Amino acid sequence: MSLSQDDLIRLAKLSLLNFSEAELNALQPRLNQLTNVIAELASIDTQGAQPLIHPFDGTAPLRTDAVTEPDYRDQVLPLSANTADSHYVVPQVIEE
Amino acid sequence: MIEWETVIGLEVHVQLTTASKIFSGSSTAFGAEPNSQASLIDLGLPGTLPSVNRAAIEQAISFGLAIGADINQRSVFERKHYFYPDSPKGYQTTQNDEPIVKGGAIEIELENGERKTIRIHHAHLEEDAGKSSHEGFQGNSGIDLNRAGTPLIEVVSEPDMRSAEEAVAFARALYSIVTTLGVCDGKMAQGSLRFDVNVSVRPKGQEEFGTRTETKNLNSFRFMEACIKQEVARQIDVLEDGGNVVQETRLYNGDTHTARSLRVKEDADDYRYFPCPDIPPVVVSSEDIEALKAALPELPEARKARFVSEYELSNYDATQLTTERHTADYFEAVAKHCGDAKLAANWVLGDVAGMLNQQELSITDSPISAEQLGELITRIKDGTISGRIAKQVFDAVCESGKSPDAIIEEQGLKQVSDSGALEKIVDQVLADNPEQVEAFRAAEEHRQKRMFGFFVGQTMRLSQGKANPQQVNQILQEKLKG
Repeated sequence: MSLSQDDLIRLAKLSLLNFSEAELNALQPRLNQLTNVIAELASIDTQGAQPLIHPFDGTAPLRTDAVTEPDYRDQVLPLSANTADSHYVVPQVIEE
Repeated sequence: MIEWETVIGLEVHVQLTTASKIFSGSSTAFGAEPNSQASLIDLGLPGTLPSVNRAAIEQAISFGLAIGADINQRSVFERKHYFYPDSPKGYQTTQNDEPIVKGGAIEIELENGERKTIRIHHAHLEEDAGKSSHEGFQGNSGIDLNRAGTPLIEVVSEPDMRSAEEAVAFARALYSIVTTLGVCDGKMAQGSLRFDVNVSVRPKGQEEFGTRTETKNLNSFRFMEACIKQEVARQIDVLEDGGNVVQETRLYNGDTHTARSLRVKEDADDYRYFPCPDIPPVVVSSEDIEALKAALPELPEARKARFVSEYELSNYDATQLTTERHTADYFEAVAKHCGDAKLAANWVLGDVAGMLNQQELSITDSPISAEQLGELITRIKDGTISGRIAKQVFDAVCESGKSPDAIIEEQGLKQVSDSGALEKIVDQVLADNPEQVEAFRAAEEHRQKRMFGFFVGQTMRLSQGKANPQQVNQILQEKLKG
């Protein structure tokens, strides 16, 4: 399996990453080394095998519906670089 | 000219009524200080693990049972990846391949009485995102994560609707079901129920669907109807001008009644779903499902049918009363108290609905209780007050909270049925209006009928609305004969 330049550009877009052409050129062979290793998995016969959702066979324990969490605002908001009026402030996020 | 057929499918986000979030013990209460209800789990901080809220699972199952769907006893939460600041984890925990509710159907009734079944593809559980505000942050956006992690079910319909009217009827029927079940508070202005509409058009008779667009986040039935009509007209224009409809996501602005393209979908969204390794599969037992089935309340369609047969209400009134569970409960309490379902329905759908609407209250916060309204209607029926005075008493009850009997007593509003007292008032009216009396007596019978109302009006006015109208009619008729 090998990734084309177009594949890389699409992956970068999905990951919200910007690369220069030089960076893409450097990245392409390195990523392809990785994908070649991953592609070996495709040689395994998985016919009829259920996907492994969790490493052990347990089921999710269910919690009683009750409010148990305190207000973390004073501890958590200061972790952000920019806040105002108890909001996290980020660059304008109206979609393109 | 080509005749076009509209095809509509809906995706509805139904906010559940749990006290805490789907994966954490944070409160879901609306209107709290920004970010005061976002815990370390909701924020996805390293080292935290989600734990699934039993009530959210149960509410989703109740919904599934109410629409006759299959309940997946084993459902799986997955991660849906996208980057947006209102989703702090970088993914939304949702269900994809194995949703909790599969299939099912909702019956709709159109205004002309026609019925139709709309199939449900599935309903899955997921967490809501936070909220972004774009104003007041100097060109930046402010993020409030209180809503992040609030449980939702997303109900996905099949593309079975063929007009805006059908889509609205479906939305209303769904609203009735979820509010009757109590799994959603139905507060649409607060975003408790949000609709995404998928619309396409095709030449009538063509089997293949046209290219569809998706308009997101409509939170009122009125906007939904207007938006669909507008989008259908736009698509037909594009096609008739020889163009192609582009598959895109659109955003409707309820203030300007216009929609704009948000993003064009060049290819299928790539959300890179995979099962959430933090949450093992959710498994529910047959016993739990049976217990939830046994606890289902009377559903809107059944209640409507019962209102028609038991109370002899019109289909229209029964529909209006059963759209929302609390309205139906209130009506039944009033009807039981006064023993007159028709009058009860008229008051609940008329004066009560008008007053609540004006004061922007829900029926559970009504300033007049069902018992008080029942008492008021009883006083009309037993002749203590006239219908006109009843409106005055109604307003006074709403304002003061006192009982109708107390207000009637305090304000001396009892209807005058004493014939001696009424005769005196009528005599006064006739004495004050000699010309009209003369004209009346000289007039032909068919004209007299029309002139009679004047004397009734004058008598009622002089009695300050307290005269018993039937008796006034009788006395006037006799006295006017001369």
